[in-house]
This record gives sequence, structure tokens and C-alpha cells, in this order.
Amino acid sequence: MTSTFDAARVPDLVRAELAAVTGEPLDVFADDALLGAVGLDSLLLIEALVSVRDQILDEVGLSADDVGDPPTLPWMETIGELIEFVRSSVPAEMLGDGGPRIA
Amino acid sequence: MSLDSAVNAGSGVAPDATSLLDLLENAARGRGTVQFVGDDPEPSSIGALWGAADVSARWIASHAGAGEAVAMVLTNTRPCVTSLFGAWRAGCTVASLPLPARGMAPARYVEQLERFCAAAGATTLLVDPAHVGMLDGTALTVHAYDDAMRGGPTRPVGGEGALVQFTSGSVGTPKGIHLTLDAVGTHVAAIVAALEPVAGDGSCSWLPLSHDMGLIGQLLSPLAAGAPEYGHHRLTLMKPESFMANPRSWLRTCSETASTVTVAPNFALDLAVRTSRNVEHLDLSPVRSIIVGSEAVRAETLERFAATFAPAGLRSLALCPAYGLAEATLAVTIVRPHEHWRAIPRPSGATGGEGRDRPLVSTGRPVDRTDVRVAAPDGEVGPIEFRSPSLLSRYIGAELTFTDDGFFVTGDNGVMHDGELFVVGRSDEAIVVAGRNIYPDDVETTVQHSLVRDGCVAAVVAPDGGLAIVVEASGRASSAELEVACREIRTMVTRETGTSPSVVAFVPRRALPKTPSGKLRRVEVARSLAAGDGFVTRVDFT
Repeated sequence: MTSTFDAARVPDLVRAELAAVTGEPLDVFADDALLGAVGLDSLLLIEALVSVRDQILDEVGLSADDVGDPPTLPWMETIGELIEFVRSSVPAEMLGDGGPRIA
Repeated sequence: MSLDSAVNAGSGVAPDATSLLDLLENAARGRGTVQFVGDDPEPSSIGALWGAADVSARWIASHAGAGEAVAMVLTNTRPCVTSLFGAWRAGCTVASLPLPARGMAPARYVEQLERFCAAAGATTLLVDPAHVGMLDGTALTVHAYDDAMRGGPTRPVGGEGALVQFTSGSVGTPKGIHLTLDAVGTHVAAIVAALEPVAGDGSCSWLPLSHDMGLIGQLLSPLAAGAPEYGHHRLTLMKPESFMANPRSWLRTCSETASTVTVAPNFALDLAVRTSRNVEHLDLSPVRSIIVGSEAVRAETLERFAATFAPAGLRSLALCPAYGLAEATLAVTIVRPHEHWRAIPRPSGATGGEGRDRPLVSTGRPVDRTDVRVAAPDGEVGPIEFRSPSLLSRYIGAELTFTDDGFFVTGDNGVMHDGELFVVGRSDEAIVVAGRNIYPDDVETTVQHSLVRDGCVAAVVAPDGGLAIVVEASGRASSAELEVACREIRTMVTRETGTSPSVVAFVPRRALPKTPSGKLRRVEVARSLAAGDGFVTRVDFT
């Protein structure tokens, strides 16, 4: 790992990816927006999650083999819950907010 | 009219009518194991699972009598499977209900469950603890699976038990398919025979048990293969939510567990290819059979998947396309593990035009004791019909009919070639233009446009009897831009299929009606088109 990831960037990263997979403008992905209302179904959700995870891994110079699986995807209804899930699934050692740093 | 048919009267491996409970009880005496990934730190014996089901049977018997229906939203967890077996051991009919679809409004999901329960005659609903909160306010009696693990005072008296699966019902209202446990058991035995089990085999699956391919194909069949006569079989059951959070976890788990059998719909193979990384770190050389089914199987998908994972030792022989439907319990035909899937050019009656050259993929030969035929002259496309001891006993909410000689008409079209079945598409959604059959799936995949949301294309019958294309807009665009896009789509389809759509229309995002499992309700789309409802932009070309 060559750098750490700032967890505060997760919301922007997730929203940008959601906009890419749904074709909707960024401003529709408010925290309280419902997944169904912004056109997110299972497949789009999978694609967005994989892409966000890969971006984070690339940024810190890790491969998917270097980190454990994210938690199972819980039932969620809003964009805010989705962002929180992504934030909580970033391995602690990758975070730059006090977690251990692996050079 | 001649009938091109294939019969598999039995290889001698699959026994005659076999109760599912007998199969499971027999497996419980073997050395087979099961591991619920995320719940179990290590595999445990099928016997232990079967023993726990005895406790659940007492709880179930205290809440529902033998012969009564109990509804379950089946999840890939030990408490759920224990409850499922307990319900059957208590002689109950288990109505398998769908999981909530992502993005679906919880209130709509609850309404759906209530409708299914009413149809099945069930007032007790068992769900995963995570779903209990979603069901606040329902008149149903809701319990978490963990409740059933506590046992109860009532000794089960036993009974015949049954399974009700609700079809996704691409056309019309979802229907309940009632299967006896004899039918399920006979079918499970046929699947086990088709997969030619050997000692040390292992299955790995993330498919939800609420789906027939998950329940029958990747729970009941691997468990039955744990019977003493097959050596032992290791079943590794992942959670679909794990696959959703990280699709790579599927093949990685197959690799780590040295699994020999797994199952996936076509889309999952595409997803695995798109998300593949460090393939050489996987060992897929033990994989003998990847059963591919539950939706149209594409040759290009199989080829890409085989090429992508060849560096991991995957053998191309391992890809085994299959065809089935819930009315058959699960499978009708399957490519056997030692056979290579093959493809043939589309017969002239099965293509939308000379520009279409997508081949048809074989779904193999019939499973044991299943007769399959295509009601059309040899080599031509016609309705797929079959008969087997694993047929549904009745529909709930619909009338069940057969041909005079006892065949079930599937609603799918296909062609037989050298004893193998090639599925073309749904017969009841096929569009006939100028005497040519056009299959919606084929037309829909040709529409690739920046203003069209991926996968949200419906090919339906236009009000004038021709071909209509209805698509969801991918984002914001002006009317003028959408009108130009309609014309571009018409050109695209015409160039690909040789048939020019008479109507192309845009609807808003999420406006195409779909079933809970995401299949298009094309008949509803056609009705809306005829009524002129709900379109953002519509161009009639006639």
C-alpha cells in the first residue's frame, strides 16, 4: 500500500459513481433519496459498489486479494444508508483518519 | 405435423419416484457437509442439519397443522434451511416467497407477500430476522427463523408436505406452482444423476434459496448428493448479499473450497468477466460443472467467460447450459458435465432478419425420466413441450392443462437438433411480422444508445401489428434529442434484424413494468402503447 484513503471522500465518490451508472445528475443523490426513486436496482447497485471499491483500492495501491471481503449488503432504502455502508466497508488499515497506516 | 422429440427414460442412476424427505434422511446418514458462509466457522454434517430440523418441526407443528401452508421468504442461512426442513417434516406445505428487490418500496413488498400468502392459504410467515421490521403492520403472523430453532411442545404427526413456488409470471399475474415432495424428490434425484457425482465433489452457490435454481439446484440436489452411495459432497452456501457486495467472492469461494459444481444465470457470468482481476490467483481446475440457466444463455457470454478464466484452470467443458421452468420443479434439459456446449445457427423461422447471426446455444438433453419435444416439423422452431414425474400437481390461481398425451406446453419456443434442445424464446411474447417470428430478447439487445438506459428496452407488438420498441431514457434530454434518438434506434434495429419498427417510444426512467425478479412485463408495455399512455416521446413511423 502506497497511500491511505480519506473516508470523508466516500460520499462524493459514491455519488459520482451512482451518477455514472444511472445517468442521473449528481444532485438527485441526496442522503434521504430512495434507491428506487433514483433508478437503482440490484444490478446497478452491484456495478456501483464494485467500481467504488476498485477506485479506492487503486488509489491506495492495493489489489482485491490484499483485503478482505466487504460486509454482506444489508437491506437499505436511502442513498445515505448506501454511503454509510461503503464508508463502513473500507478496511480500517486503508483509512487516513487515525487507523494504522501500512506503507 | 411431426414432433421432433428427445426422451431420457433413465440412465439407471436416478431412482423411480422418491420422496424428498427420504432422500434427505438418506443423505443425513452420509458424510456430506454443509457450510453457510458468514454464519458457520466450518462445515458441519448434513446429519446435524437434519437433526436440528426435527426440533424446528416441533415448533412448526405447534403453529400449523399437517397439510396447512406456511409461507417462507427463504434465505441462505442455517436457521432458514432448518425451518424449511422442519416444516416439511411436520407435513406442511411451504410457500416460497420472493426476497424484496433492491429499490422496491417496502410497502409494495409487504402487499406482494400478503397477496402470495392469501393465494397459498398461509397465515404464518417466517422470514430472516433482518426482514421482520419491514413487515410491521401486516395482518400476517410473522416469525423469525430463529424462533423455530427453539422447538415446541407438539410432536409432528407428519404428512405429505409440498412446495409452492410462485412463478415470476412475465405475462399476467404471478401464479403458484404446487409441487408434491415426491415430484421434488424425483427431480432432485434426476439432477444428481445428470451431474454424475463422484466422491469428494463440492458445490458452491450464492443464488438465493427463494429462487428455484437456488433451492432445488443448489441446496436440495447437493444435499441429496451427500448420500452414502456418492461418497460425500461438500455444500458451500454463500449469501446473495455477499455476492452483491463483491461479485468476485463467488469464484474466489469456489476456488478456496475446491468446488466442482456451481450455478449461475447468464448475467452473473458477464458480471464475473467484467469484474475479474488477478484471475491467475484462482484455482478453478476442480470445477466440473457450471450450470448456466434461468435466463437466455448467450454463446458470446460463455466464450468470454471461458477465455477469461482459462488462466485459472477453468475447463471450457465445465460450462453446462440448462433449460428449465418452475412447472418442471426446475430442469428440463441440461448439458452434461462431460459434454461441450454447442451452438447452431438460428433456423430461418427463429430470426428477425438476415442481419441477425446470434447462434442458439444448446441446453442439452432431457434430465432422467423427462420427455421433451418441439411441436413443429423436424428442425423447425415450435413450442417446447415436456412431461415428467416432476411436473407440478396444480396451479394456484390458474387452470392447468395438458396436451391429450399428457405433455405440458411450456410457453417457450425452441428447436431440437441431434437430441438436444435449443431454446429460442417465449412463444407468447414472440412478434410475427410479415410471417417472420421475432423474439423480443434478440431485438432488445440490439438497442445500444447513449440516451437509452442499459437493459431497459422492450420489444413488443405495435398497435398496427408490427414491431414496437419502447425504451427508458437514461437521463435528461430534450424532446428534439429524443426524437432523433427514436430515428437512430429504428435504423439500428432495422440494420440488425431486417425488420423496421413501426413505433419507437421513450418512457421515463423506471417506467417499464417489470416483475419482482426484474423481467419485463411486455404485454403491459404493449397495452400502454396501444392506449397511448405514459410516453415522453413517441415516433410512429407508419
